[in-house]
Amino acid sequence: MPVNYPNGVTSMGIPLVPGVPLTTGKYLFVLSTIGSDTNSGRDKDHPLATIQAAINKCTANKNDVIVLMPGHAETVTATNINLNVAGVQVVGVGIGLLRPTFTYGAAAATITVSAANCSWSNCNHIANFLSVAAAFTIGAAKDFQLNGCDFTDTSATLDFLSVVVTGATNNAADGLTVTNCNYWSLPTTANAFISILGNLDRLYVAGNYVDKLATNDAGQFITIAALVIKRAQILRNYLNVVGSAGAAVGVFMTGSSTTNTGILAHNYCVSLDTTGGLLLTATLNLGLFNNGMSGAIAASATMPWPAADSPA
Amino acid sequence: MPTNFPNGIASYGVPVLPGDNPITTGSVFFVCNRTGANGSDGNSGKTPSEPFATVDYAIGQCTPSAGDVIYVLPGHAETVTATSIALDVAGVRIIGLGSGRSRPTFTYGAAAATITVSAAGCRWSNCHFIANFLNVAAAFTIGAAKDFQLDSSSFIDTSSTLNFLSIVVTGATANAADGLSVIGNYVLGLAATDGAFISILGNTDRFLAADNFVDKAATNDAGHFLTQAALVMKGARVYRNTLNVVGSTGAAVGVFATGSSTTNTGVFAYNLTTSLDTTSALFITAALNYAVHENYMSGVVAASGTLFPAADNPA
Repeated sequence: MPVNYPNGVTSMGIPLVPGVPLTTGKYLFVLSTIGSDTNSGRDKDHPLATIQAAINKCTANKNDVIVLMPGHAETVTATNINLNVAGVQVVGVGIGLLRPTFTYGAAAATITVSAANCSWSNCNHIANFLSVAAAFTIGAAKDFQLNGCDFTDTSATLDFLSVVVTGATNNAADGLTVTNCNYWSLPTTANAFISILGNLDRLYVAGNYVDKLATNDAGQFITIAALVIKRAQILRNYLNVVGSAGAAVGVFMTGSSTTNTGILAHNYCVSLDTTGGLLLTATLNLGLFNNGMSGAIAASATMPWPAADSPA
Repeated sequence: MPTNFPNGIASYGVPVLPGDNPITTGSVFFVCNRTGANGSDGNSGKTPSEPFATVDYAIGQCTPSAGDVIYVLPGHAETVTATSIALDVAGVRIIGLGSGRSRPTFTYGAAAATITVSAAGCRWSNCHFIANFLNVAAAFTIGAAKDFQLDSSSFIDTSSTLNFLSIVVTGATANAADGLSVIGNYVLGLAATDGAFISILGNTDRFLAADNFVDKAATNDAGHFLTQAALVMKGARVYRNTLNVVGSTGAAVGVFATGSSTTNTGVFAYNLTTSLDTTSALFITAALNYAVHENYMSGVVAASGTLFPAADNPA
């Protein structure tokens, strides 16, 4: 057996736990099957039972890391998980369905993020109630990062409407980052994967796969309504949506502001839309590079879409 | 001299190992049967100096769903039979150490030789697999094993008659292999007739194949990368793979992928295919219902690939 240091080993004052983000703060371990919220949570043999207990033990702006162990499972309600300590990194351990799993059992069930510079990675999120409004609700929480997570509907009536929804306060969610997530959506009517409800700078959305059975066409990936996003980067995402044949609005993205800035590049979209064929609302003012769209499932996407101009 | 901890260090109960290794909150085992490595299944397997001799024995020491990791040391070599290795403990990750041919090597010496995977959430990474018998049916056979990941490994035929037919074959039970991921592997196939790199025999959701390079001497054209027969795959993602196959000039079926289900969902994107097929030139069976973005195909090795299938006009 290895020599165990239950209070940890530090090198140059930095705790040693390989394979998870470096922190100069502390590590906390969570596992529902054997854990207790009266444990210290400071080593993997004495884990906490709930993530909220771990969040409550974190110190703001110390970059504390919460390690969710394989097999951890929680039911999410409207109020039981609030990532409200700045700088906390939540890291799931494991592969596939052995990753930590969060099941949403009410329409208002959501994980709230209300502190800056937090991250959440490598977990499963399962909708188990009709029209769960948002898996994550981002409040006053700049620079939140959601990475490598799966979002799965149990059925067409046990479903997420959106995965990430921001609050309405302008610039409260600046720096929102959503990368490498998968979303399998089953209802015939759903909202956007990401719904922006307040002006937002530095949105970064990359490498996500979204597969939806929705038969409406409007903004299935991102909606920004009349809000303004500045310096947005929306890169290398895939959207498969059943859609409808005659949508008159952007299938991938909709909004009405004409003063956005940023780029939309290498995104691909398929829907049944063969009439208007709008990837995004035409006047959003974003730079468009090599995006593709198809209205017929067996045909390759037309590149680039919308059509290129001649800059000469 | 550095302070040595011959049995290792655990910090907060987590084993501390340098390098780009995944975190585990479970146990760590080592395997090596290289001459002089002291490998024995009677060892503790807890340190590189007291490794187990076989991977299967190490698997048997793991705890289900604890995220245990088995490191297989450079120079380790095993012969695979039909029954010698069963990855049957959930959540176990097997990681080979080393690069190129110094990686752990597994040689298949019978047509039925295969590594079976029958537990969920497992991974096999960075090893070298050699076919040394005629028509080895499958390097890996995936049973009731959701979310298995095979990555960063190489699969080499010894000759055109000492060859793999397929690398990954699933079982027939629907959804038993959901979440199968095959990433970053290299395949060199030398047989004139073989099967698909990946053969799906049961309905499978959340399939992922990305960044694999498959080079085959086969002169048939049918589904050399993926076959799924009449099975249904939902949410499949097939990205950035390269298939070079000799093929034939007049194939009437998909060179890259074949199947007959019309209710699949998913995306095939950035895949590159070359074969001699210059007649009907089907990249994948047309009715598979996958979204297809920026896949390229060529019938002449010296020519650039053409966007395949042709783009529609969504407006």
